[in-house]
Amino acid sequence: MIYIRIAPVDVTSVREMYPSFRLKGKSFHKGDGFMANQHHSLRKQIMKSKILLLFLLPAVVWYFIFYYIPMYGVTIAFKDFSITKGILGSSWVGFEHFERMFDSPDFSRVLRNTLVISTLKLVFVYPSGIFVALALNELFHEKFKKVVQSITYLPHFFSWVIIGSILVELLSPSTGLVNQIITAFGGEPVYFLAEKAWFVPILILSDIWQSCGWGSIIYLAAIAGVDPQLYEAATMDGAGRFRRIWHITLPSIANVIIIMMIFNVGNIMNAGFDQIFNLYNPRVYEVSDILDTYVYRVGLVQMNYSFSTAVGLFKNVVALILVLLANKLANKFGHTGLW
Amino acid sequence: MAVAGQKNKFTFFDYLNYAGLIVLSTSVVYPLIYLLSLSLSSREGLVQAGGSVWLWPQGFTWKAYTGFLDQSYIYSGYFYTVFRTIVGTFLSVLFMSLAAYALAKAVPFKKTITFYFIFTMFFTGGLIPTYILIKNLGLINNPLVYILAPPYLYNTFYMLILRNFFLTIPDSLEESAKMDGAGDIRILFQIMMPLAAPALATISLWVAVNHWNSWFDSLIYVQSADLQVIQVHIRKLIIEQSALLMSDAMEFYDQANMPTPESMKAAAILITMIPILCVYPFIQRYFVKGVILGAVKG
Repeated sequence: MIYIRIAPVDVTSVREMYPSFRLKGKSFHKGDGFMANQHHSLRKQIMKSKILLLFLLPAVVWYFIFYYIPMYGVTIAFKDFSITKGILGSSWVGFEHFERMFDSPDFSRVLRNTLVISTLKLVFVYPSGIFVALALNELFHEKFKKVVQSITYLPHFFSWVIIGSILVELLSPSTGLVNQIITAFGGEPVYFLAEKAWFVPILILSDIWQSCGWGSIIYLAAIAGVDPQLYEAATMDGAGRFRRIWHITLPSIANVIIIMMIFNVGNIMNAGFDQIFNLYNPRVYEVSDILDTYVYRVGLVQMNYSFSTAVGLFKNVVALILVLLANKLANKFGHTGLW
Repeated sequence: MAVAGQKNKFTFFDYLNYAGLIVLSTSVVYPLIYLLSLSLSSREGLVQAGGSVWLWPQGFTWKAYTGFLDQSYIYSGYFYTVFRTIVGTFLSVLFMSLAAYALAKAVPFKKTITFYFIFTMFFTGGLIPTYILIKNLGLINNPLVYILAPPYLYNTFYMLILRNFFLTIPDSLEESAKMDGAGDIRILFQIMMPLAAPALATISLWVAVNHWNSWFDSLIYVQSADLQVIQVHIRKLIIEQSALLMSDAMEFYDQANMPTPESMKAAAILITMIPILCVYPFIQRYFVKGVILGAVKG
């Protein structure tokens, strides 16, 4: 996720800059609004901006229905939910589902897999965008750079259903290209997607393949802002390629690198549902089953609604705490976090 | 990087760098070429070539494609994917613009409402409570769910990018329009929206690609195969390896000149990808602009 700041409009200062207008007996104030009109009653303010509030109304209603009602729905994690009784009619069971969850070997397995896979992605996938940006920045030919950029951004636009399908085809033990090459050199075919030792490396590699080009954009933008005089001065002083990258390029984009890393750490509870769901199978559940896929199977396939909601709630609460911490950390680095 | 005085001094590092990027680009392009050749190869051609395709099709036949085009689920799948991409994107961008514009102006409770939206970026009820809601709303097995269900109609992140863009438009324009007697609705649609066209184009493209690529909502909320989107059919065919779908597509052919199952799967993948591949060269720069827009603004 990229960072943005919610900047409040400084209404009072705008108002000082512009005098009020008078037209057809009505007075117009530049920047008239909530802040500037504290002496008016709330009712008047609402009437004044009723059209704007009307613009917001569908959004407020939609968010209430589709986000806030399900937030109330998490109470089924503390209930014995049955479809026939509904959320209100089902009886409370306290922390029973959570106790069962923490005792379950399945849960510790999926929690471990989630953390292992997202840590590996943090170590290998996240830096790949930086490497591609640095590599692109060292090219001499603008045309070549443009072509490479266009090609490497492309996989970002494929869904994991498509990428998963391509991988299933390429890695098929009988007809897949990779195994055809292996057998052509006299090797034994490997059923990559069903081998525990291969599954996680395939996740990492395919994630790099999908995201390294797109991930480089933000770093390239940061590199574009570096003063070329710095490079010229360094070259005069006899600095070679790697010293220029190490002492100029990297320090100049260090802020972006740190911010992106903090947000990646905050996102560690998401190991990549779409990707894993489209690649995994029961033979590799032991290494590939993550919190999100577990919630899906237990909830929607086995219909254990309450237990599944408890697992999902645990994940969401931990994720929320991590994101809040990450944002605090980002602000500490002198950057605007998400708010 | 073209540093003065250093131009065209090709070192070992440069060869390595160029080679690395060529390998990376090839890893993207080659699988597509391979799938294309495989999808166009005939059974006899494949057998003669020892069972595999490298670069060019072995033999040549369109049958893998025509076989799929005879399938009703390809049409219904395509129909619902195109439907949600067009109608869903239009409604989403329209409603998000309304809200984003209001948030860029001085409305009462602005801070509270903004927080009310942003909070959902960090905490949600999760899969099961949302599923129960959709069920209670009667949206199960209803294609309207493609347009209405989160995260499609409103996307908080996109909405905030739009709002930030509206904030950059000088107030003087709105002021003079107001003096001429224009109301909020006219100001938004006749002045603000045209001025925000670059941002609207970027957001529309993002929403459209998300719609084209979506599959999970169709998988969990819609059970009837004739209402599901194309991505779900591809998933069933290749990832879940549904034998039923495959045999459906093949029964039109006698064994001898029928394409192999692998050719048909390759054709199925390409059928789903082709629209993205076709528009990609034209829209790519908007996406890149958008990333910068989202990152630097604020």
